[in-house]
Amino acid sequence: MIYDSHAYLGNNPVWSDIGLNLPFDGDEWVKLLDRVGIDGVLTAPPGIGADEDFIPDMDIISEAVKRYPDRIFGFARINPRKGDMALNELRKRVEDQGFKALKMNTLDGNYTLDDKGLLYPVIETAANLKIPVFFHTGDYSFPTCTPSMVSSIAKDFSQVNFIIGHMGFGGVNGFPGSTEELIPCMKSSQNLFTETAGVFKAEFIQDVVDSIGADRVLLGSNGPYSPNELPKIMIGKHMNKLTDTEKSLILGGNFLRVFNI
Amino acid sequence: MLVYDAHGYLGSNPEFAKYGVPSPLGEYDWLKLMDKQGITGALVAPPGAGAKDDFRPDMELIAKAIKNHPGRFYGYTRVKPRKGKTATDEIRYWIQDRGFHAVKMNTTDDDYTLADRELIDPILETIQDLKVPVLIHTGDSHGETCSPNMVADLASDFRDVTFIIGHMGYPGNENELLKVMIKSKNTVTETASVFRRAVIQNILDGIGYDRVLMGSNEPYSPVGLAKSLFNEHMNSLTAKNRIAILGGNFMRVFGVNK
Repeated sequence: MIYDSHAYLGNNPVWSDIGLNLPFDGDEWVKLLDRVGIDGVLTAPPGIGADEDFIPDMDIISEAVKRYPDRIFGFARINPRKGDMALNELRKRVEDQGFKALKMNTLDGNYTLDDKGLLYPVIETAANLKIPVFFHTGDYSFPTCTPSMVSSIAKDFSQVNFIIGHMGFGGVNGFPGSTEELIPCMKSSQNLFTETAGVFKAEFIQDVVDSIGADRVLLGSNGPYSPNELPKIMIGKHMNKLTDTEKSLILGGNFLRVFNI
Repeated sequence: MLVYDAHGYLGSNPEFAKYGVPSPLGEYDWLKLMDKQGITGALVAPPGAGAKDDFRPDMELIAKAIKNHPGRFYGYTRVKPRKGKTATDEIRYWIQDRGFHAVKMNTTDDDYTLADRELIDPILETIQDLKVPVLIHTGDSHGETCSPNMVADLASDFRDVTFIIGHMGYPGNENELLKVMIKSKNTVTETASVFRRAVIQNILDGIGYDRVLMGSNEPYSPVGLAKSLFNEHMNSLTAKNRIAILGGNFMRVFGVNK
């Protein structure tokens, strides 16, 4: 079974520039998943929807989740600066619409992950809802969202699973990013997971698996920004030191466990 | 369809073993890979790990590959400009005597910046004289030493040289690329390790399809992924565009006749 733990669903004009239909909704995703042999995908609203608090795209995700309950899963995405409104939205998406996790990106509200006063009400709500929390890390915004910052939050909320998005990676050789922090952080907290969206450097992924094992690494694609098939090919066919068991965990076994499918 | 990879590596890097790639990654390893992925030919450079030996052992491996398998392997000679006349002599040797096809430059090889014209210009004069293209790594962790804007400055002074802007300036400097390529007609770019489709499409929409080459960064990133990206996942491309990016442009830029 193969599951993609990091993708997007909704409207982003950039996607039509690369030949995709808009909205890129549940129907479009299922066509794609069937074509490339992926069983399911966890989708977030794209960042461009921040001005509308991601609500229109989360509505499209909700429809997709209802229509394809075993194929499409939803991330709720909120701006923590919106206070109770954001928390209520999060509760609604999870309790009423079956979303599986919370996705946060510091660019959405111009904050940093060490702003605990801002973040902790959100994490407490996620803890009460018993859902994992995904933080974008690395990339151009990396000073605001490092694996170390996620690790610090994880120590205060040991009952919540946190996903370090993109492995703290960025671009061709890891820059801009904070890759050197990832392994020490993941060694320090067992409630930390990571996913591979945007990481096409085999040696880096192998380093992580060699250091912390394969059971806390999830396949992620960043689709449709990057083709969601490529990470599956990368892990499945181009990581020659991974055992079949390790591949199976990364490609889908860990997803089923972490998101309680 | 003829498919050429404009940016791969052949030779030794101890890091290859970490993820099950042989070191050295030699000609027969590459041939197996290319045949499996349907790649006609690859332009390969020695890995950066060989800088301490001035890349010579790995360039010997590349020279053998070129000789043993013409039409499948093409070679970058890789240069350390601070070696002065030794560097320019080496470029001449590998190109004229050993059949290499282009020069590769990475500012980390010799701790320099592209703005150091006193250092760089003798290299480019040699390249111009030899009538070969030069690939310059751009963007990434040392992007401030090797940005597309810096390549544009070189390109404007060496108009007879084809400059290949490596990695599209991604990450970090990709926003410069379009203006640079519009202004500097003697630039092309290659896509090694760039899997962000909008970055690539932006360039294609801005300057057309005949100055973008497929590059893979193999073995750091798998060559099959780069080919798959263009073949199957860039939905706005026509068949003609794909033929150009996947191989037609390579053949024109490097003078390959089939």
